[in-house]
Amino acid sequence: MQVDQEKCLGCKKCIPYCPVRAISVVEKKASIDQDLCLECGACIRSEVCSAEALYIQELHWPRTIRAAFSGTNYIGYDQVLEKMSMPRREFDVGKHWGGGRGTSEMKTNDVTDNFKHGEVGIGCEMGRPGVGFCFRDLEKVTMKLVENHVQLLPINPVTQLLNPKTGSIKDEFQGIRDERALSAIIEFKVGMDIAIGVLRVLQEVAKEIETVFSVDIINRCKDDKIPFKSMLDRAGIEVAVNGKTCVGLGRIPE
Amino acid sequence: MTHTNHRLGNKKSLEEDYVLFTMIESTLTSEQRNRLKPGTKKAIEICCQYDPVLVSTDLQDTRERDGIDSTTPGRILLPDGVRFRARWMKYWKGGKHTGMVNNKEDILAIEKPQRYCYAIYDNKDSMVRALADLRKADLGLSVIISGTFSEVFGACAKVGLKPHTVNMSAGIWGKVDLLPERRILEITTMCGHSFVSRYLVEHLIKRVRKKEMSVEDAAVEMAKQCVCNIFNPIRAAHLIQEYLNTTE
Repeated sequence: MQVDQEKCLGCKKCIPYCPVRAISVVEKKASIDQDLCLECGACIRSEVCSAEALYIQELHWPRTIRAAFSGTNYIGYDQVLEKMSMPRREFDVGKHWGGGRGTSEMKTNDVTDNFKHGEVGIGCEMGRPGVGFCFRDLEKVTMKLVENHVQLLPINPVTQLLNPKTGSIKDEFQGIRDERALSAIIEFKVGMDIAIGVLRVLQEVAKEIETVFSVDIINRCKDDKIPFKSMLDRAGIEVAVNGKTCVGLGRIPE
Repeated sequence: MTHTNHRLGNKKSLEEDYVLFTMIESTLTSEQRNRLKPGTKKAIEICCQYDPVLVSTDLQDTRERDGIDSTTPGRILLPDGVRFRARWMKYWKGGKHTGMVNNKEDILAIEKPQRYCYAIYDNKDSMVRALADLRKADLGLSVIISGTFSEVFGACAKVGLKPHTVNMSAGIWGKVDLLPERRILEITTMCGHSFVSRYLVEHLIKRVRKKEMSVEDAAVEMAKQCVCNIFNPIRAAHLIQEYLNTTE
C-alpha cells in the first residue's frame, strides 16, 4: 500500500485501520512503513480516506506473497502461480489453490468426506489473530511437522510453497523467507491414535517462533459426540466451548 | 477457511452469538453448483424471517471470475472488488459503503445469490428456528453453525439433525505476549481475517468514551471492516459497553 502524498490531507483517520500499525504521519502526511505493511488492504477498504490518497502500488515478487496471503482475493496470486508454472485454469477450479489462506476445511465435509471417522484435521493459522507472521517462522513449524512424518494437505496454498520431503520452502520460493503476511493456514490430517503426539510437537515448536498461531482441530462426530474430545481432555489440551459445526445437510446434486 | 472458529469470550457472551451459514462446495462442477444456487436464495429468505443481526450473500461465484482482469494489482482487493458481496446489518443507519445495503429487503431482492448465505443471530431461539426451516427445505446446501457446541448440538437434536463434523479451537499458541488484552481480543476475533484492527477498536472505544460517537455506531464501524460479514455488531456493542463500564 502507498499514500499519494499530493492527495493526502494529513487527517490521520486511516491510522487505526491498519492491523499492524504500519501507517504513521510524517511531516503532516500519512506514510506507510513498507516493512510493516502486509498488503492486506484493510486501510483502503475502510473507505475512510475522503481524499482517496491510499492506493495499491504494482507489486513484484516476492512482495506479492504478502498480498496473496493477507488479502482476501486474487491479488498477487497470478505472480505466485507464474512462479509455480501453474496454468490459471487449474487454480480457478481449485485443484491446487482454492484461493484464500487455506482450504474450505470441514465446512462442506458432508459433501467432500475429506475428514473421515477416526481422523483428526489440524490447522495452524500462522499469525492469527492480528499479529502477522514471517515465512521463516512458518517454515520452522512445517519442517518440524514433516520431520514427525506429517503429510500436509496438498490442496492448500502453504503446501504449494514447500518441499514435501522436508517441509522447507522450495528453492524457487526462497525469496519469501523474510516476507511477512497477516495469516496462512498449515493444514493436515492424522489418525486419532497419533494426533495428541502431533499436537505435542506443535506445543514445542510454538516456543521457537516469533509469532502466534491459532490451532484448529477437526473431528467427525459419532452418535452426537466428538470422539477426539475425550482424548484431548485426558491429554490436558483445552479447547474452547465454541466452534463450528457442520450439521450434515449438504449433498452432491444427482 | 476457518474464519468463525476462534471467537473468544465467556460462555454467556458466546451464547448470544451464532453465525449460521450455508455454502456450496467449490470443487463441485459448474453444473452441480448451478443446480444448488437457487437454494441460496431460499436460504436467505429463511434466515431473514428470524430477525438476524446481519445477513449477507455473494453476488458472483468465486470460481467464475475468468472475466475479471486479475492481473491489475489490487483489482479485487480494492473497494470496487467488494461489490461481489452484499450485506445488511442492524445498527446500520444507511449511507454509502461498498457492499452495504440499507434494508434487509435489499438482500432478499437479490435475484441470483451465489454460493453463500450468512446470517448472524443474537439468540439461540432464532438460530434453532432458522435451522429447522433449512432442514425442512432440504436445499442440499452445507449448513454450518458457529456457536457453543452445547447449544448447537442441542439445536441439532431439537430439529432432528445429527452433528456431522466439528472444528474446535485449541486457542492461540506461541508468543502470546504480542497479543492485545483479552477484552480487545474478544471483539477483534469476531473477524477471522483480523481486518478489524485492535488499534481501531481502541480508537473507537476512546471516541465513545469522549461521546464523539455512540456505542452502536462504533460497533458498525468495526463490522464494516469484516469482509466475510461474520462480525456481530450487537455483541460488539455489548462488549464495548462492558469495557467502558469496567475501565476509566
